[in-house]
Amino acid sequence: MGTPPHPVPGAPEPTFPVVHLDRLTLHHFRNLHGLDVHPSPGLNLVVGPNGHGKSNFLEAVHFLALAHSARTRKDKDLIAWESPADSGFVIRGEATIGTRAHIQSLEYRESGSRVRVEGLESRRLGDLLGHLLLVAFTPEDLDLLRGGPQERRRFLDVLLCQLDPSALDVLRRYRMALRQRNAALRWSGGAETEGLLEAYEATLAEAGAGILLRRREWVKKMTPLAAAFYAEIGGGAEALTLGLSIGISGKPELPETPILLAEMLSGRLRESRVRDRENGLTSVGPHRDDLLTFLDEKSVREFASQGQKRSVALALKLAAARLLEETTGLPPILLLDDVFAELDPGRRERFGALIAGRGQAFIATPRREDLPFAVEAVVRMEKGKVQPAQAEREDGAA
Amino acid sequence: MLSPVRTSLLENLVDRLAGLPSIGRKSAQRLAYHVLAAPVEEVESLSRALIEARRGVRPCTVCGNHAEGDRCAVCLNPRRDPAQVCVVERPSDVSAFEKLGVYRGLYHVLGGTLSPLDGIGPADLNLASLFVRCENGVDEVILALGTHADGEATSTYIVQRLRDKTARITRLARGLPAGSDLEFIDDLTMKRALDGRINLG
Ligand SMILES: [Zn+2]
Repeated sequence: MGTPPHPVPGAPEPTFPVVHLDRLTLHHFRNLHGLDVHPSPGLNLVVGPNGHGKSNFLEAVHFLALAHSARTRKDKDLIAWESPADSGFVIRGEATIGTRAHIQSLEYRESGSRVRVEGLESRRLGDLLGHLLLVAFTPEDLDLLRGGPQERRRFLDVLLCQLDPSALDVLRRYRMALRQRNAALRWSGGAETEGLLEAYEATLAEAGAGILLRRREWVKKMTPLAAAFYAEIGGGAEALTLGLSIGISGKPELPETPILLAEMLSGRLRESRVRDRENGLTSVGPHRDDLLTFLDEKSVREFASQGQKRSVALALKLAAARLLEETTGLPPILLLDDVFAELDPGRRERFGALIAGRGQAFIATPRREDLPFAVEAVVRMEKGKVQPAQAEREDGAA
Repeated sequence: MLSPVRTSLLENLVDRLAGLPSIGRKSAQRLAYHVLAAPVEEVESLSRALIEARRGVRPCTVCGNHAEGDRCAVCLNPRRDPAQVCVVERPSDVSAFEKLGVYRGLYHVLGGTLSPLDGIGPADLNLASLFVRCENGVDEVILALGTHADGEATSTYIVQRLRDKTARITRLARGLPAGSDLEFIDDLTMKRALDGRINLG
């Protein structure tokens, strides 16, 4: 490998309490069935012809750790076509977290899923989040600055849930109360409607304040890290800055305490009732937030080139990984699906130097020559199976 | 080939069983085979028990809890304190509190929570009779609904409606894990939540 990377300001020494998957079993997940893999705690390269399951393998790891797929919004699309009626897919992982052994699994069915984390059972996919810390770099992730605000909110919220376990419940209560308020806006019960709206607005305001304050805090903490990583890989001289666009019209100054912020949100919700009932939708709140990015104070979304947008997306993801590492003391698992081919050789080299040697990673790439580093293990996928042995050691790898 | 009549009887049974909560297709099949292999008398007494329970158990006219007559066992007990009313979602929550054996008041069972998405508004819950009950002789209303969004909204709704009444309103202390249903909470946590309840007005 080349010279070690320039240290990013504030970068911790690689820590060796770690998070890594030691074993992954899959059933009926897209084209993967009866798969049982023992990955290396270091860099795992997943190879094989296109369409034989490389990306599906990475997607399964993604789903197990983050409770959703980056490639589809319809979870049921992930069920193998030929699987029996009302069976779903199963993903199970045995991992090491810090010094603990950890097991989590997911049995997904359209009729209702079952999640088990450390022997505790739950019916909510979200309970998978926050244990197997993971940051993904997929083609979809590189489009983070091209897509709509929804993708950026999800990026922030998944990170939030990994950084702070209490965030999951706040997001959940907010989402439920939002759907219910929207339904109440269309309620045809006359005087009842106001009472219903008021009932859900109390929860919306309280949970909404919790989300806004958390997002603001973590965006602030992520800003210097993202700027440093951008300087590292961008190759340009522009300065990257981040901001949070809040879903309240007029973008008022936010009160500092949760109680005052909840009062403000509650007032705005009440004021917007007439208009919201016309539209059947709630117009105020963190479900309208956006993560803003600027290069030299110009909006990345509006003014940056395709290459710059990719570099900014990479910088955000690297910052997320570093933030997780600094906050939890554990370097997250990295998923790299097809990203190296997307980068020019200079960026590829610099990006590779930032991720190698920091813990476990799963890497899929069509061209092995694109990889700027050696790997510890190779998982060979063919026709949805691991071939010929579960993992082969690569000659001369560290 | 199996005769079509026979198959449809078995299939019908499996369909019925699979329609019960938390019974999947596979469990339903297992139960159906069990039923087919059991002595006829046993199956008859099972089906009698189902019908008798369904016919004989009705909502209590006072509180909405399960009752075998007009009123439930709690409401009929003269040693219970009628000035205290604990509001819960389901009859199973009443059993959970009763198992603790520390609560001496009465209950009010709503039959669920608000959920406009499912078309459940205030009029679809056992709320009107709660507000009437609170007009006379109730000193304290304890809200013991789930801590999920719908439970909270239902609590908020009740607080709004009872604000001008004389009764004191409290809710269970926040020892309860957020987002949870009462039926999944252990006794000790529930007792702590009951002991440390919070004044709402
Ligand atoms: Zn009763």
